[in-house]
Formats: sequence, structure tokens, C-alpha cells
Amino acid sequence: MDTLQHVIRELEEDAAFQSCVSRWERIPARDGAYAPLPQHLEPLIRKSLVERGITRLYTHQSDAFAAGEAGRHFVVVTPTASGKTLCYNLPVLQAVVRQPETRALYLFPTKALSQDQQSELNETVETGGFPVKIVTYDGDTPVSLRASAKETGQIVISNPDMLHAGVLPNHPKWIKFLRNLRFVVIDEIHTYRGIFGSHLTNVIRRLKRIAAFYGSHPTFICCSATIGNPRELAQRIVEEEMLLIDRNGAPSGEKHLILYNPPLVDRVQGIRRGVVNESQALAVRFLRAGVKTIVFSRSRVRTELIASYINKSLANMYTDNHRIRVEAYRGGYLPSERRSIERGLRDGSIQGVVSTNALELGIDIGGLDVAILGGYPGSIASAWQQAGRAGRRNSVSVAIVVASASPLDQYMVKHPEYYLGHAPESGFVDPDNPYVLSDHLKCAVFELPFRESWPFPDDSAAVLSYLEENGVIRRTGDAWYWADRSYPAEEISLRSATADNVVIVDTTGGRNEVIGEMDRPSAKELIFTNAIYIHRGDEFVVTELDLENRRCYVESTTVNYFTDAIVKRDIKVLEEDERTARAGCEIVVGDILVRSQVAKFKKLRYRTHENIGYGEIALPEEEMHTRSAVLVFSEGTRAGSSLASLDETQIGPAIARIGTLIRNVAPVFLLCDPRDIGVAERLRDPHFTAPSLYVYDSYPGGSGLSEAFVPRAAEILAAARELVRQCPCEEGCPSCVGPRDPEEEIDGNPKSAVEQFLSGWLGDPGGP
Amino acid sequence: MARDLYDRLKQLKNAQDAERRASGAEGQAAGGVRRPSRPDRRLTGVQEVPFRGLAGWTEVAPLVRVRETTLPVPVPARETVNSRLLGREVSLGQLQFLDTETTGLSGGAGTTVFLTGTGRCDAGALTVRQTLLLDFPGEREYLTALHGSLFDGGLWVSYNGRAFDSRLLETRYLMNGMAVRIPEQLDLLFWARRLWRRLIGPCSLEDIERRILGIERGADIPGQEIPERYFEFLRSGNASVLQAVFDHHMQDIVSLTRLFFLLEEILSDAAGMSSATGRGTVPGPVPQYDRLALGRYLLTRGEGGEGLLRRVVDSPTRAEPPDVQEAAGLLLAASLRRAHAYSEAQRVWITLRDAGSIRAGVELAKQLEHRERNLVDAEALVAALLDQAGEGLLKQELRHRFNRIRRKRGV
Repeated sequence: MDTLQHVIRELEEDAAFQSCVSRWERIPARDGAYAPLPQHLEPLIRKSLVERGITRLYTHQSDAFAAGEAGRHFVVVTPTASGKTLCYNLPVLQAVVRQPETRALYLFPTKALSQDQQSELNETVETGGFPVKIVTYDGDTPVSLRASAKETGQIVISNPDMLHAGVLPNHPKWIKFLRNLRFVVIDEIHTYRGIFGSHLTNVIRRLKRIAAFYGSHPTFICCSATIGNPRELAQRIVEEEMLLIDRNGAPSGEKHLILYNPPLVDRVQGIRRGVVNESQALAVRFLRAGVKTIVFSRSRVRTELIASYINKSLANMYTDNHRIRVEAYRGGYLPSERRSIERGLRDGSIQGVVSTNALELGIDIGGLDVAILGGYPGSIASAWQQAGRAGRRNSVSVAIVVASASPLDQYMVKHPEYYLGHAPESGFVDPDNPYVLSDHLKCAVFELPFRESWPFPDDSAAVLSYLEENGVIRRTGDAWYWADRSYPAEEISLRSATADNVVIVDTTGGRNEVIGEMDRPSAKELIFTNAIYIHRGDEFVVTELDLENRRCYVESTTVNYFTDAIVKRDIKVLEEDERTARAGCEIVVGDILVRSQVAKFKKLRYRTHENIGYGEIALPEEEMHTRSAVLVFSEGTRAGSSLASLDETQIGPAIARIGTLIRNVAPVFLLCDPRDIGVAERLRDPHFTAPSLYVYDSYPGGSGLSEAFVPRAAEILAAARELVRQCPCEEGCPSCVGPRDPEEEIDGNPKSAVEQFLSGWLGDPGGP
Repeated sequence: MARDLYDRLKQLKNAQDAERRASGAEGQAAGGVRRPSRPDRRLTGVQEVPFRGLAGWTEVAPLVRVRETTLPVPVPARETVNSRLLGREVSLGQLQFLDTETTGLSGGAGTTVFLTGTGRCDAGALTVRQTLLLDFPGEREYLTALHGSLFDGGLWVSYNGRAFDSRLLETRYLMNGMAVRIPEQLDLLFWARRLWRRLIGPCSLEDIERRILGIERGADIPGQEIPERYFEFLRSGNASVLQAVFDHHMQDIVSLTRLFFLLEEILSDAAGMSSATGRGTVPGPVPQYDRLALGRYLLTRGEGGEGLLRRVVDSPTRAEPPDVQEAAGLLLAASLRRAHAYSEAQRVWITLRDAGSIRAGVELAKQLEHRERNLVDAEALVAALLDQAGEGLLKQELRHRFNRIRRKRGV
């Protein structure tokens, strides 16, 4: 009998464990649905598949092949490890083998995924012995290889950023590639939500336009992980009619999904055991029995902590060398380290891994049996994605969600039906957002004189004439021309995150070796001078963080604590541009500065996590200059009066919860993603001298959402009230005002306080 | 920054509203938003808005103008030249000195060529043909008009043309659906770098003009301002703003031509083919520095160069940077030593040492100590060098050598 079955039985009989389980869901095994290898599959490809042990396809793979053959755009949505890559590789390879001039472009959201795909494709091609040239073209591609990538690459693997700033503005150098472009594959399409997705849609418009100029009209193939509206999202991004392939033919073994709330250590204060220790203890239980396990953790520090606790626990028990190897995995490791960990997981030399959400995406790490989610990852879609990392085709698997003390986690674990019954979140994009659209129209005009609006919207002319007034483009004859010396794509970033990284240098004993990297804002919070930096279980103390030169010097150390920065955020109003009375309050649109300052850090003892000291951090503030719409609840407005009628202690929490509601509701109206919007409440705002709620763009420089919010504020608030009223929860839940929070000191039920505030503000709802 | 964004959005909305209001009704829009100009009349051939300031330019196609200027630049009045740069005899008439002016410097599909110039040697003078694009819609005609003169079997001579001008021209032809083959091209930037990078650094054409050709441009327009001038012309139709650009462009071609003949001169001189030490077409003697630079280049390629270096060592001039003779001598001596011509090498070092070179002294000391085992003279020489050397690594080395020699002598 399978060892995992054995551990499952043990857990079932373990009363202490059972007392913490709020739900134990058993999802029965499913048989696979198969189809034979397509008859007209090229013999070389067939041979390669058979040699790799693939003698038949899952139905979704065969559906995808047929769609590709028919030249239809399609989107595939099936769970992790269901053989998704074959859905695009088969039609593409078929076309390339048949007609070697054929070109295909693969877009992945991260470089790590590109590399993974490159090695997978290489394997297929090498096994089959057929000459298909696959190249990766991204920021890491050496200049010496770039020319040959353009000339000879039949399948070019890249990312949206590179397409935007590298390929399209230099399209004449890609003429051979673009002229023969037949397939564009966009994997992990669920990552392109909100502003990021809006940018991608416009990059795709530009690609179509240039491809059409060279006479090609590629077929688009998209793949998505669990998401509420895959077909709609894909259609919005690609702007073509898509065929949805979601009939999953892959078999799956029986799956146990367990929601686990760590035991109380202090019943009176309701304090539970920490998620770090609980996750590691559970992981050790499985690993000891020889079961391959992945632990997901919410932060980089926790990832390192859990991995090192696990390793220490195992070392104590297995001094006689059981060779159980557990690794941490997160962003910031060197690519070679990441590759070696991935390889170790695939070939079985590594049995356990602790990861941030970096492994949530489709990086191939082979089959794992158990996934432990150290904390709810924040969205239902992500939770399914992480849980899906465990599970092979024919054997049983387990996913355990370990709840942290946060209100959100506590809600999830106490209301299992929320996780199990709710559809995953939907993704929205708004490619015609004027900020985004005008950026890409500039690029489009740069790339080719603009004669007809396709594939941009018909009213693009208005934006173009605005750009003409600014002097960057010129209309003459029957077209718009780029009339500026700059290179517009260079100044436009598709993502909110900054691209500059701090390099971490180990200087122990005179060494001078780069061991990792980190983005600048995180560096301030994680690798400040005197911080303890843990890298694959080794401890280092930061001797100097030199932000100017993007370097962090560390030295090997052994201490009994780790460090945790205390971050303070505040908002400063820079300029008011517009103040209107609207929706029962005042709404101010203007420029704000969101500042985060790390001034202190805590030293926390390993294992117990008790605070054993403080330290000072001397670093400049991290600043984001952006746009905001501020709801000011001044005296005399309906909202102000309604707020005044609340109990004093309820005012702050009530405003904060309106913020949560807006983040839940606004994406549907503004076609964005919750992460594109920031909210912050002020009980007494020093600038507005009244209780206020900031709704701001979380893109540096702004993304147009604040402006778009204002005219729709009344609608959004009405929808928010509707949501609260119709939500079946009793005391608030993550879908409406947020779950109950014991630290909030709100008397009674937060939901009713919010309802009271809203009805005083927006008027009588007029019956249920 | 964000203020701009806000304005941008606001204007954008106004513009959109105006667009909607104006849709159906041609022309005027409300709201103070300027409507884009309707299809340009210039294209139709009937020039309602005449261009100004283009006297001397001839229309060869709609929106394309050409002018030819013959300049008193001294070029050989021969039919052919035995080119050392190309390694063969070429007819002078075949050479096209090529330069372009563009709407941007960063390349990419949005950068356009608006002024192309080719210089040709004709009966001892330089004739420059400049072709100007008056507005973007004329690009296809522009490229067609250029095609005849650019691709007539000539040989392009350029400065950084391989990386920039010819790639850009190729891109423009490609984007207009015309296939061209870039002809053989001699890019003088490579030669300039080889010879003068150590002396003058980056080697922009302006650097070469000033430091090597001795040309001082008067009121010249900086290269990075050229795109903006062109955009200004597009808006006004008045070419007087381009006058400085035309002059700049012309000067570039003149400098390119002179540089070509200077390089030929230097290379002939190096090969001992030139009887004159003069620069022929370019006034002034071939500087010793050029000989040093070329000698070093030939030496590293194993193609001789010793003769050049010896000429530098044997005839020092005051006009050169002070270390030219020393550098040439050290290179020469090192090469001789590698060829085991020790006594010849030693003669060179002695010449340099007599001129005060410490580094040559060190080489001599090595010879005395190791090869000739003349420790007494070696000690005396090193002692003298020690007096001469300032504090630093060299002095430390000398001390070390001094002590070792003393030890060997048993003092």
C-alpha cells in the first residue's frame, strides 16, 4: 500500500489533527478521456511522442490540435499538469515540420517560464530528431545571438515586454519572422488582468498591425489556469472570436482537500499556533514518510524559515542520513539555482520544496503528492492553482490549507463552503483606457504610419489628434507619422513593478560573489543594513545596502534570530485638480505621494518568533507618485452626516470597510484588477480635515482608474450597497465588507455598521 | 509629471467630445480643439502652401528636392587611386561619400531619413548632391529618386555608416516595399578608431575634424538638435530653419572626403610608397603619432610596422605629444627582442634613455642584469633611475631590483 495512503489514515485517526480540521473534502478519482494520435500527424512528431511514451492524446489535446489545424483561435483551460503545453506545441510543430518557413511566437509572463518551455521543446525536438530551431529572445539573450534568433528561429520564445520594446519598434529586422508568423501562443493568460492586461491587448494590436503589413494573420492560442472567465478574458486580450477548450481529458487520482486551523495556545485571547511552525510540522510528517511535498508560503522570509525549520527537524531525526532533501525556492535566486532545484524536483533528488507563489505558475517540477498552503493566498483562483500542484494522474494526493491568524484566513477556514462553493475570480481588461491607449498609439505610429484605425478602435483619431497637438506625431497626406526624435516604447513600462534590481554580493572571507538579487522596493524592507538575509537556508548578515549602486554586501553568519522590518505607509496630497460634490460626498481628484518608510526592524528568535530586540534602519523613503480619487466625508454632506451618526469607534473601521467593498466592486466597473487599485482610510485627514477614503492607482504615474472612478462613483457605491445587502454572510466575508476582525474594536457586527453608514449616505434603499 | 497626465487625460476627453460633435460635419470643431489638418494639399502636386527658403533646390518628384554643389575641396585629379584602405585600385568616380540626416538618433522603425548626401570626385573637385524630403508622405518618391544615385554600382564611403546610415536606409526601403542591396561599404570609423582612439578618445567625426584634420566649424548646429529643426520645418514649411542643417550635412561630407584621402596618405606613407612626407591633399606633415598608431596596428596584426616605428624614434619632433617617441621605441624594441635581435633592441633603448625615458632605462637594466650579467653597470643605472622616479609602483619595483642586484653582487 502506498505510503501516502498510510499517512492519510494516520491523520484520519489522529484526534488532535482532526480537532483542527474544519473541512475534509474527498474529491474522487477521475478517469481520463483519450483520443488516438491524429492520423495526419507528421511522422517525425508521432515518432517523438511515441518514444516519449505518448501513444494517445487526452481529448483536450486532440481538440486543440484540430482547432489549430483548422486555423481557429482558441483558449485552453485545464488544471495544472494536464498536458497543456502539448495543446499548443502539437499544432505549432506540425505546421513548422510541414513548412519550415513557418514561424511561431510564444509569450510567457516570466523569463523562468520561457526557459522552462525552451528545455521542454528542445527535448521533444531532440527525441524526434527533427530540425526545428527554438530560440529564447529576452533581456538575457546575448547580443551575439540576437541576430540569429531573428533570422533562423522558427519558434521564438519571449515575453510581452520584449515584444513591446524590442521586437515591434524594430520590426524591419524581424521581417522574415513576421512575414511567416502563423501562431502566437500566450500562456498563463490569467496573469494579464487589469492594467497589465490592458497593456498586453494593445501590444497584440500592434503586433497584428505589423504582421498584417507583412502579409500575415497569425492564429492565437491562449492557455489559462483557473479563472472565472477564461474565454472572455482571452477574447478581450486577443480581440478575436475564441474557441474554448475546457473539456479536461486528463485523469486524476483521488484528492483530499483539508482546511486546517492551527490549535489554540491561548484560549482566552484566542491565540493560535503560527502558520510557519504548523506548516513545517505537517510537511515533516509527510516528508518523513517519503512523500513528495510542496509548501507554499506568503513571503520570502517565511519561505526560508519554513525550509530551514524542516531541514533542522529532519536532521535531528535522521542523523543516520535518510537523504531527504528540502529546498527553498523563490524569486531572487540566480537562474542557475532555480534550474537546479526544478531539475532536482523532476528527477526525484529533491523530495520537498518550500516556495513563494513563484512555483504557482506552470514551471515543470514533475509530480508532487502533497501541497501545504501556509496561509490562504488571497484569491480563490490562486488557492486552486497552488492546491493543484499536488496530484498525479493515477495516485492519491493531498492539499492542506493552513490558516493564519489574519481575519481573511480565519474566515476561509471557518466557512469552508466559501472556498469550495465560490467560482474563481474573473479577470478584466480595459484596453481603451486613454492612458494606456495613448501610450500604445504612440508606439504604433512610430512603428508604421497610421492610415486606418484597425486593429485599434475607430475613435483612435481623437487620441492621435491630441498627440499631434503635443507635437510627437504629425498628420499629413492621408496618414499620421511619428515626428519626434524619441523612441516611445523605451519610456512605457507594461508593469507597475520597477525593473531595477539590487544584486546581493557575498563578501565572506574576501569573497566577492553574486548570490542573488532583489527588486529595489523589497530590498529596502528585506535587506537593509544589519538585516539577516537567508538564502537557501544559509544565514547572512547585511553589512551594507548600497542603493545607489544597486548592491547589497552580505557576510556569512550564525545567529539565533531573523529580522522583520516595520513599514509605515502614509499619503500626502500634492495637488488637487478637481473637487466635485458627487454621490453624497465630496470627491477630489489629484496627485498624491504614497510613501513607505522602513525606520525600524524587529529581531525575532527562530522557532518561537519572540521579539528579542529592535534596530534602526536609515534608508530613504520609497515613494510612488500617482493619481487618486479621494472621497471626503465632510460635514454637511450626506455621507458626513451618516458617518457622524455612527458610534465613534465604528467610524474608522466603517470607512476602511467601504474601501474593501470598493476594491471588490470597482474592478467590474472599471475593468481592472483589484491589485491595480489601492485604498487607504483616514479618520481625520490632515489635508482634508475630515474623514476620508483614498482610492488610488497603484501604477507609478497613475493609470487612469482614479479619473474613471469619479463619474461612476454613484453606480459603484450603489452596487456596493447591493452587494452588502444581498451577501448571505452574517458578519461580513471576503466578498463584501471583509471578514470580522477581532483587532478592530468595532462593537457588534461590522456588516451592520457598514450597512447603517451606507443607508444614511445613499438614502433609503427602498425595500429589499 | 502627474499634472501632465491629468492635462493629457482632460484634453483627450475634450478631443474625444469634439470628435463626436464634429463627426458628420467636416472641418470646424467646437471646444477650441484644433482639428487635424485634412489630407495635405501638398501631396496633390498643387502647392497651396508653398515651401519657402528652398532657392537653389530643384524638384525631382512631389515633395523631393535636390541640389548639387561643387566645392573647392582638393581631391586628386586622377582617374583612379591605388587605395590602401581597400587594398586595390579603384576609379575615383566610383567612390560615393555618403551621409544622412535623420529624424532621430536611436534607430527603430520610426526614424526617417530626410536628407541624404553623396559626394563625388569630379575633375579635381568634390560635387555634393543633397536630396531632401519635404514631408513624410513623399518618402516613397524620395527613396525612388535616391535609388538611381545610391545604387549605381558605386562604393560607399561613410563614417559609422555600417551601423547607422546604411541600416536605416535599408529599413526605409524595406518599409516602403522596395528591395535593395547595400553595396560594398568602406566605413572610416573603424580606421579612425584604430589610429586615434588612444590619442583622442571616442572619435566622433567632430573630434576627428578638430584634432586630426584641423577643421574648426564656426556656428555649427549640434547633431542632436537636427531632428527638432526638421520638425519645425514640417510645421512651418519655411526651410530657412534648415539652412544650418544643410551646411552641417555638407561639412560632414567634406570632412569625410578629406579623412579618406588623409588615411590613404598615411597608409601610403607607411608602405613607403609616398615620396612626399606631406599630406598631399591635406596640408601639414604626416604626424609622428599617425605613424606610431599605424605601426602599432600593423605590429599587432603581424604585418610589419617596424619601419614606421623606427622613423618615429629616429626623427622626434617637438610638435608631437611627448610620449610618442618613447611609445614607438618601446614597441619597436619589444618586437626586436622577441625576434632575438637584442643588440638592435638595446640601441633603441639607449636612444630613448638618452632622451630621458625611465621605462627604457628599466629595460636596459634588465638586459644588463640578466643577459649581460653586468651587475655593476646595472646597479649604477638602477640607482640613477631611482633618483629620477617619483614615488609609486615603479619606484617600488626599482627598489626591489636594486636590492636584488646588490644581493647578487654580495654587497
